Amino acid sequence: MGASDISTLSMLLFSSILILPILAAFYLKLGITRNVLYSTARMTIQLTLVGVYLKYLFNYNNALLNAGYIFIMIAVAAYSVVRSSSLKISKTAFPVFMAIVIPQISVLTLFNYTTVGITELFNAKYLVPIGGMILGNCLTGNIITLSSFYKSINKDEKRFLSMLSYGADRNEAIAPYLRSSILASINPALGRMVTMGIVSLPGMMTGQILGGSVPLVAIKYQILIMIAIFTASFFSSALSILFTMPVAFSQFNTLRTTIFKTATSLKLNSR
Amino acid sequence: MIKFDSVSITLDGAQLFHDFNYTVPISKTLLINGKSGSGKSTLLRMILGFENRYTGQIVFNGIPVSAETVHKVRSNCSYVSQDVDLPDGTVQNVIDTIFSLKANQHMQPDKSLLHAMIEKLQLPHDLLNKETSQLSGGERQRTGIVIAFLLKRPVLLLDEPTSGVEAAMKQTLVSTITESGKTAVVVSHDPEWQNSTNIQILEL
Repeated sequence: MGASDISTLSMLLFSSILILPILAAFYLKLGITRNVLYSTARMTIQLTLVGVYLKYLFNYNNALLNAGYIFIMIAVAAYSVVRSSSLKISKTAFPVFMAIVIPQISVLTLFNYTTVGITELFNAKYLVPIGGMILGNCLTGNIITLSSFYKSINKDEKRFLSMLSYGADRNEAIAPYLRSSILASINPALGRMVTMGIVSLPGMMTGQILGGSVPLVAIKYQILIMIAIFTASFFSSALSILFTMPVAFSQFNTLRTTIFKTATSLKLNSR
Repeated sequence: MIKFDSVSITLDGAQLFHDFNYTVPISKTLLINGKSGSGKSTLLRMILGFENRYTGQIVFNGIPVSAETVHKVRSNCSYVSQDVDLPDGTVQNVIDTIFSLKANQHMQPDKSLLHAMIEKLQLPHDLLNKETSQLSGGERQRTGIVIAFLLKRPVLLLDEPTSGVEAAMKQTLVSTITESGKTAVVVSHDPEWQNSTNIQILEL
């Protein structure tokens, strides 16, 4: 048994409540009407395409195809992480990709192995949605970690150089920035776990309950997925810094400002 | 000890040095004079490997400054940057952090020197318990100099070390540094340095 289908009429009927925020936004002169319509339309088209695509993916259920799909998802994720963290894509996309792939694949494989067993490891039904959930959450964490790490070192250039002059090697000099940038991405994740079930009923659990699962089964999946997300997110944040460092720092342990997207990302070229 | 060997550098289209040759005198204070933009700070930054877009060679204790040797070079220099940017925390925390770095673990901060320097540079008695973010500009500069001396390194590289302090204190700082017996390279516009007898001047 699954969630009951929604008729097109119902879809339209419910979607029409969008008129309310649009009217309110218009009244408040927020100037977002076009944007709301564009975003909603884009989401609808994207999800429809994915729905169609997933239908075939689930039907074929070919291990290679499924794994390939996961890799494409990761590549797109790496691209959008780098794009949103104001780093140059040509220099950092590959290290960030690797930083996502390693924890993502390990955690995903372990998750599927322990929950549904080795025979279902590459089953699209598990691989794609679980992979997507872990990945989606790694994404935000990675963006926060990467951009806060490099931006704060760039902003603190003088302080960073002072530490080098006091005798810090590269690892010693980056340590405080590494700590604070990983914490910046981990703390919201921990916060979500603390309020889970009280403030929010998590998406996966909701989905399973709608799909007909018993709540007690749904929470088991939810607990494990949260742990999976946390672990994968933690390591991909840490690895994304570790892997980008060789391109981001010169051999003299100074930050290469060329890793930033725009030249305007201020270097105090003080003389 | 520090030798510039046909060093040339052009930054943002401005040629700062062209075939520059110079040997910094040992155990003396060298004052670098010149208009702003003439490359005074860059000179210090090149010694420390913070600026390495130059051609030619900088030789430190007989070893060319390079990616391999820069850590050693830095560990022999005490650098006080313009308007000293210290890490957050109390001054004591900062000193502890600096002395916990692998390069400095072989030594302990010399407490009597520390207190003598605080006294001499007229810093507050509770300096060590003050947050670095609460220090005034002049206090931060002098704290930077105290830390520089605590590290007991043979070379001092000081970028405008007296800009934020009052006249009498400038004099104290000048004599503290010129009489330290260290090799000091100082960038400053303050006349107190020029008037000191114990000093060599490099015009850029």
